[in-house]
Amino acid sequence: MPQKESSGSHKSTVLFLACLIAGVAIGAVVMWPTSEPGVDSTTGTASGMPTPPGNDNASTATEREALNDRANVTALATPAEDKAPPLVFRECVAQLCAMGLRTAELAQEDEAEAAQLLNEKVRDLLGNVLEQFSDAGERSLAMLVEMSGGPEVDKRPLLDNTRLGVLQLLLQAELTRRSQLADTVADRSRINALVQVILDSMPIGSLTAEMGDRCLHKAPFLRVAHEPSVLNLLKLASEDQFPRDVATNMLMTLWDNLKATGERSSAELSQLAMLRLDSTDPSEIVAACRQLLADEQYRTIILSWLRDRKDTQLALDIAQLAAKELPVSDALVVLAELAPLLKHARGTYMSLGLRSPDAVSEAYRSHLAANTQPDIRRELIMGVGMIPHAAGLAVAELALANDPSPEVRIQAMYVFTVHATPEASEQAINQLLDDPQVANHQQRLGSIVLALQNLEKGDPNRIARLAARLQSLPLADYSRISLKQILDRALPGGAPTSGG
Amino acid sequence: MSPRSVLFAAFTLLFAIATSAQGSCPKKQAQHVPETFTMHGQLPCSGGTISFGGLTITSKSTACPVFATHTMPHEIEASATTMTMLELTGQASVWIYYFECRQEWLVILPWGSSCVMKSQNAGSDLQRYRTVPCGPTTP
Repeated sequence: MPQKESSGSHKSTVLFLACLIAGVAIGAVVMWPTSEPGVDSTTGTASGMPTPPGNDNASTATEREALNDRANVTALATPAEDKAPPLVFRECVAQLCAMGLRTAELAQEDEAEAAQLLNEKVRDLLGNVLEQFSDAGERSLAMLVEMSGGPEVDKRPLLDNTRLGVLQLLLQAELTRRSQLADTVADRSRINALVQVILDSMPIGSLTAEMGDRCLHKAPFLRVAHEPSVLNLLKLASEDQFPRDVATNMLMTLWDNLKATGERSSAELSQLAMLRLDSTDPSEIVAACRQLLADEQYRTIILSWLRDRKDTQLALDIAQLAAKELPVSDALVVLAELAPLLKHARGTYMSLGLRSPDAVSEAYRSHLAANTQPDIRRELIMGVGMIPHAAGLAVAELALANDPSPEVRIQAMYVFTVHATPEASEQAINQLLDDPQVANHQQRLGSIVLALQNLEKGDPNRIARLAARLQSLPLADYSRISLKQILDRALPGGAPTSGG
Repeated sequence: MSPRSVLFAAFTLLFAIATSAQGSCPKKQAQHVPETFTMHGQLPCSGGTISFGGLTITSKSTACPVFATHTMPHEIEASATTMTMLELTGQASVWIYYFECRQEWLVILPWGSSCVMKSQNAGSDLQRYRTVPCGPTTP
């Protein structure tokens, strides 16, 4: 009896072990394809970089998404196994970086043909990576999160910045692919999930914030499902824990998309924007003002609200948005309305000048004819005069000859020093110095001294002549110091020590 | 003229002088404005659209600005409740940087290198102020 029992027990143990091994084997077979091309590649073969604190959520979300996509990865990877070994995502990124750097080197060495050839290979490899990895977006984001916490972009090595360029391309391609798929199958779950992971990663650091901004700002991917996350970014921005401009970009893009897709009507958004005006968060206020300025019904109300608020920074933000986005004629009206709050800002009309130099020139002519608002005239001259366009110099000539305001003529002189010939610039400066309103005014003389910086690299004799004339006038001490510094840089022997 | 009238006239004159001296103080203070950098326009570097793997993506963010304005720290005048005014202590340039694309046809562009600065110019200037008390001889 005991023997029988012992034999039965032994048999059952063997049976258990056999089942266990079989289970492990089946498990290994099932698991093998997912670990080979993908999941492992973003974590296992890492370059030894520690996972930065605070990225747990993003990593977890990424892994969750990767898990969802494993079946697809396997399905896509299987046919390729017969022909070529499966790609490893991290290695592909490294290869793309190397190819990208080499292409740039070839281009710099004027090896155009070789560079173009390699550029095409880069394109092919990018296509292959996308074909093989249906979760290329999540994998790219995971690699990006690993990179966060280091120095800013301008202090990073070229290889790092190249990797960022590759990851951005892959993320944007993945977003585009899923967006197209969503339109085809009328199901946004996959695109929404990727956008959600990007939004969740954005507060981790400056790199993830910038990547999110590059991928989502002015793109059609943010939808109503992402509203809570966007509002969370605004909250973080109001606590100085997230870049305010990026938060504003996200909210403005979200509202644009909601309007474009019909998820919210323009009237609904304007009503929502009116509520947001009471917010303490500047990003929300800027986005709300933008929405209301674009709506003719609310424009007068919001301009009046802005004037009453007397917030110069907000007025400047709104002016810049208006100059970039509103129809030119509307933008001119908005900028003129906000002028009392922008007296000390410079360059507010430059975006507008870039869009329509003729409209800005015409606005200046109208103000000059009416002899009104010299502050606006000065800004209009800067707006059209400092852009790379021929219209600027013509308007500056008009201003220098006819404008009664010394400040506007000084601004016109700046335009001369940038766009006119050196002879004409010297003549413009002398013309100003002939005017007692300028020659006896320290601040105006100081402006002329600073404009000489634009002539520093020209004829030293010209600088020396103008400097001699300026030194004979009642310059402020700080202007004498600036002038000496300019002469030190411009004259072969530096500034004369006697001051003459 | 009675002594009483003389006293009244003297008092009135003193009051007028005091009121006028107080009224001549502009009650202003310097408000600091930090350095800002604003970009204007977009040059479509990297071709703007890139095609690979059957996809065409629009990569707006690889664009670079046509130019940027760099406003140095300065001060603006603000109302004050105290008897103070502004004193000009200097002037700060507003710089304008002009950009151009680098190698427009490259598919991969490293971050921070899609465009290069072509030139820079002083475009205007702003004032540096400090707040000083209004003196008894304030004009």
